[in-house]
Amino acid sequence: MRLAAVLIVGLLGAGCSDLTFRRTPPPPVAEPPTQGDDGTGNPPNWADCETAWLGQYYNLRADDVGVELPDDEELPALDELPYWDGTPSFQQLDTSLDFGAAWWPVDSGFVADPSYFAVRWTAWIRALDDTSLEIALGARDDVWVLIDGDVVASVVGAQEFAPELVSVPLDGGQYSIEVRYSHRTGDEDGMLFRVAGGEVVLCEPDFGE
Amino acid sequence: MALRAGIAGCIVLLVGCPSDGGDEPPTPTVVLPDISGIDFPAAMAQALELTFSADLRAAWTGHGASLELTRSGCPDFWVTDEDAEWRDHCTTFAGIAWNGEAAWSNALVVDGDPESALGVTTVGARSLDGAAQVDDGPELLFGFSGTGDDSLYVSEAPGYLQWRYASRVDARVRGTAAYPADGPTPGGMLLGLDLSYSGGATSELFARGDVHLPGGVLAGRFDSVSLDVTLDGPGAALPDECVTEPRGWISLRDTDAVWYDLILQPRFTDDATVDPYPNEPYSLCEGCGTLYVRGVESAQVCVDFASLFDGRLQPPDPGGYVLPIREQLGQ
Repeated sequence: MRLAAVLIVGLLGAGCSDLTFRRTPPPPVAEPPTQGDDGTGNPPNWADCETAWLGQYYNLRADDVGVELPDDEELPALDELPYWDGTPSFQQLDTSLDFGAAWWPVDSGFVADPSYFAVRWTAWIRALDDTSLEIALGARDDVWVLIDGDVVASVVGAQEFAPELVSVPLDGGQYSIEVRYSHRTGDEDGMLFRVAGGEVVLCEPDFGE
Repeated sequence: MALRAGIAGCIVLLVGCPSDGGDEPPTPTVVLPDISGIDFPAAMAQALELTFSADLRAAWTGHGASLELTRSGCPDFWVTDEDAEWRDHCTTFAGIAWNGEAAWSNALVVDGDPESALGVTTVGARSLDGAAQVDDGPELLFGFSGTGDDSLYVSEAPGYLQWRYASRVDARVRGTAAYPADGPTPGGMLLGLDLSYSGGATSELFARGDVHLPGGVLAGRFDSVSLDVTLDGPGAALPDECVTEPRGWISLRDTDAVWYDLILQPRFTDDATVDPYPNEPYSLCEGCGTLYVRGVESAQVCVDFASLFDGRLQPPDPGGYVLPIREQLGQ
């Protein structure tokens, strides 16, 4: 009875006004900074730049190439994997690629989500002189490190997250650096990339004009 | 009968409303609650604080406390090197009643040397599943129905620290061993919640899901929280004014089942990568959002989220992941 009274009073109070649902127009989508290129961007202003990566996150489907790959099949080569093609689920700036285990950033409702996903991070690295870049690197399942487009370190098909130290000789200069990650199997994951040594500076790409 | 008559009256009133267009259908009408007395910034902040405390730890604490009350044969246990389970309907001589089943596991892996360039990584994982109830006479000590897991990751090297804690709980958790009777949620929680937060070199908060407080009230009015929100904290690659700027949405439900939705910045756009983000007012980093009540835009609400990064959110002690099951059982 109290409910009915409230409803009646409420309606009378409204006086049959024209109060209606109003749909706020959705915000226009901002222009992505990487439109028209591969996310590499331009070298930053080394005197004034932030240590960060552009991270592009992709969801994978349970029937994608390489996902839950049988033991007797081999993962296609990196340049044949389609994980990083198309439009990412989202992108953001990441200041650290030390995510560790039980890290599930992508969930858009696919079957088995959030299990299978891939990420591409892009940045620029500058070696102040000839140096040895030391990287703490680990992943389950896969991580590739590319400098100027060449794979310089990788972990592929790892069944456990066990970081290791990798050395990469670098001549003095600036390079684009890219890290690709994929999680294709099981319900355990892991990702670590950390610069552990070397006379280097790492900054986010410049997407300005 | 009176209720039916009232509802019929409402329908008559709705149909009877005049419209400008003559033959046009009547304009839908919505009855909005009075929100003038609600401190939404405080309520939203309290909801966030509550949400980020709604992890597996309370259930694990209740589970661990109940295991200290077992006696030989009550309940029955099945233990392997990796996990354990109790399953029974029994009562100990001390009057502790066990009903249902609960399975759990926990593991901790520490690898490396903190003084080396590679450093040391610590990975802990726990899980709890079941439909279990433990009573001490009339008092419910621990009840758990559903599944949950949490994980701890710590990465340390000379001059470097990064940690992350993540929890997923889809369960009804209750009982005084998990939620003290004099605490803020004595009736326990009904959770369908994923959350994580990190600290050290960079910090971030994430939460997605639902929190319901059976018999409890948040900010004097609300009994449920639903949200999908991300906050970048200190160390994030954002303009200074955008650090601790939340993205996503937070909704509160009052005890009359009316939802209040606070819409913040969109989560999955490029707002973190463009400065200035050409999409005002959505791009303004001021901690404000638009409050919708029953879908009707009602107010601007600004919330101070910075307090979540004041150190109150800490990872659990790694020791909680390492206790062997046989020690938990006191055997």
